[in-house]
Amino acid sequence: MIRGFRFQKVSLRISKSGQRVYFNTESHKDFTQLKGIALTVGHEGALYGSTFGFRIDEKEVLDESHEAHLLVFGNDVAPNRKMLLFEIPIPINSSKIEGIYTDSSLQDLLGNASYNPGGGIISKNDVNVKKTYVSGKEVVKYSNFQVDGFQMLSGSGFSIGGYSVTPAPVTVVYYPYDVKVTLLLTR
Amino acid sequence: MTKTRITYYPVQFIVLHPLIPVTINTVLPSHIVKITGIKVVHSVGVQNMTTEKYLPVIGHLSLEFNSKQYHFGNIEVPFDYQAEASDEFLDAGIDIQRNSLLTGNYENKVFTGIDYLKADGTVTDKWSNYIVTIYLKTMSND
Repeated sequence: MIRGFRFQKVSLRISKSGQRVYFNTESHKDFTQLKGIALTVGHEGALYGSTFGFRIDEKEVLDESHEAHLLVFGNDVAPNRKMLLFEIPIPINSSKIEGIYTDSSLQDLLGNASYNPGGGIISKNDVNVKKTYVSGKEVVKYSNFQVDGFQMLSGSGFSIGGYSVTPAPVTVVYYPYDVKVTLLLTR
Repeated sequence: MTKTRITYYPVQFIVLHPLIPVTINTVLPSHIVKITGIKVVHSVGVQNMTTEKYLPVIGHLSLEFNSKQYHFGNIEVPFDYQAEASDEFLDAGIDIQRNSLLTGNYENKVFTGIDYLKADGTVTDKWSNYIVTIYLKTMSND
């Protein structure tokens, strides 16, 4: 008998600074609503400045520049306190689920002085690379990608980008580290 | 038929000087029809200037919607580098006019002493540019 909810998980491994990790998978066929999402990141220092974008059936839910630390729970935070719960659940039906995790993506923007003297709005073009979702040209195939504990084959849609950024000097991050994406599905 | 759904729309801005206010002026995407929540967070940068994990106020943000027709108010922006930081949104219920402007001003309130600012008004190497993000919880009809 199937319970009324399920936590579907996707595991990612970040191997170097500035890596972009793309995944796609399908929502479990027995569940019809996505109620929440959360991340766990294996290294606290990696939280800040890293971003996570998320789409369902090619409709954006979280922009690619959404900060990972807003979705993360750790030892002192219960998952149900930190999970981003959708007030209006997202309907799913074996839906295509896509995400992009970018390590230390915002640090790269700190040195950009091409704004007014005091600063200003950062252009979406500087933070987002939305074409990654469709073209895949900037990504490299990678095989170490798991959904619910099952290893996916190379070429199943998990990819790593090629550009690198320099993290802020006081932010020490140890690589590799793992990111787990937890999706709360209900019937 | 177009169905309305919740999305989260971030607006990022960079602070380059401790004493010069940042002007915010951007057009919201036309698929955003309503804003139901607002959250303003420090993203990166301030951690380069302090060993503290929490500062209650690093700056004040004034926000206006619908091309300056609706003033949301002044928001105090904290610096919070703790995993247990609040993830609540401020409640809002603002109907957004199509292609209207999000405007406002941000004033930095920290690291304004002589360690960070030279007599000629330029910043020292102890100052770090930083990024603040305004998260808008929106109803979208895309």
